[in-house]
Amino acid sequence: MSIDQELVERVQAGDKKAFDVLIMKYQQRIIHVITGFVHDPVEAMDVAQEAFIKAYRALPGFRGDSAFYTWLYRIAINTSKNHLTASSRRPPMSDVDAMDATIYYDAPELKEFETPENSLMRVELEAAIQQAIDNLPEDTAAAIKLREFEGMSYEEIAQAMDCPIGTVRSRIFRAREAIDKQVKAIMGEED
Amino acid sequence: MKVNHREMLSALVDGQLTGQELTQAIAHINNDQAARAEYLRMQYASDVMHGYTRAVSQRPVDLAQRLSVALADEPVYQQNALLAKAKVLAFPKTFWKQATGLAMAASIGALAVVGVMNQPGYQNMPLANAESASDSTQLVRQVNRWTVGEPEVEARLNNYLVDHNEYAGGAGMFSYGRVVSYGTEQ
Repeated sequence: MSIDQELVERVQAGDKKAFDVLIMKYQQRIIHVITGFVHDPVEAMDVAQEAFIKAYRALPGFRGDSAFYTWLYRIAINTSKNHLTASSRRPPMSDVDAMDATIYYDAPELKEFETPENSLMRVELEAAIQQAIDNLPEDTAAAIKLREFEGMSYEEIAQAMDCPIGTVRSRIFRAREAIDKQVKAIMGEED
Repeated sequence: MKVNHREMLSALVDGQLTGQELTQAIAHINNDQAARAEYLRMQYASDVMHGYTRAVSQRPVDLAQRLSVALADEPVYQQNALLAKAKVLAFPKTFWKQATGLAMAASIGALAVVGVMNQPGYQNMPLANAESASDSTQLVRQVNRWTVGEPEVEARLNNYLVDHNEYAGGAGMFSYGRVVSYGTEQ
C-alpha cells in the first residue's frame, strides 16, 4: 500500500491530522496546476484551499481505484474551471493530463503565471539546490539524484548502489539537510 | 530536534514511511512547529527539484495551517467498521462484468424458451423422454401408418411427406406450416 493510500485510510478512520500531511505534500503541485488556469496568485491560493476542502468532503467515497494525486488533480481542475465560470471568465478549452502536468511542466499553457519575481526566486532556489548537491560527497549526491530525478524508491536505490536501505535513507537525509541549509539562507532563516 | 526525527521527516517527503513511523511523523509535524517548518522546506525543495515552480514564494506556503479553521468545522470520519465490512464483501473487479453477462445470457435463454412454448404447434411436439417417445411410436404405428398394401405406393407417399416437411421447414414458414411425421424410419 502506498503512503498516500495509508494516509487516506487514516483520515477515513478519523485521523484528521493525516490530511494535513496530504495537503503539505501536494499543495505546491496543486497550486502549480491551478495557476495554469487562475493567474492571480491570491485567487489561485483561494482556489487551492477550496479544492482541498472539496477533497476532504469527498474523501469517504475515495476507494483507491486511482492514485490519490490523480483524483485530487481532477478536483483541482474542476474547481479552477468552476471558479473561472463563476467569475465569468472562460475556462481554457483543454486542460493538461495529471501525468503531463507533472512531467511537461514547460507546456505553454502552464507558463502564463511567470512574473519577474517568481522567475528570480525560482532561479535562485534552483541554483542554491544545485550548488548544495554539487558540494555533497559522491554517494550522497548519487542517492538524492536517484531519488529526486529518477524517482527511484529507497529499495531500488539500495539495489543500484549495493548498500542497505538504512544507508540510503541516511544519505538522502544528509543531502536534504545540506539542501535545506541553502534554502533557509535564501529565505533569510539561517540558524 | 533529534536527528532520527529529522531523518523521519526526510523519509516522509519521499513517501517511504509506514505504520508506527508514519504515526510518529504525523504527530511530530503537528506538535512541533520547528519540525513542521523543516518538513515544509524539505518538501518545498523537492517540489522545486521537480519543477513545480510556477508559484514559488519567499517561504513555503502552509495551506494546511490556513485550512485548519475551515477543516475544524468538517466532520471526523469513522469508517473503520464500514471499511472492514466492505473489504470482507468486496468482489473482484471482474465479478460484476461476468455477473451481468451471465444475467443477460439467462434472460435471452428464458425468452427463447417462452418463445418456443408460444409456437402454435408446441403442444403437439414430442416430449423428450423415453417413455413418451415409445408411446408415440406405438401410436404412430397403430393409427397413422399407411395402410397401402403396395411397397412402391408407400415409398412414393413417404417421399411426398418428406418433401412437404422440408418445404414447410423453410425460413419464415415454420409457424404456418404443419410438420407431419410418419413412422420411425423416415
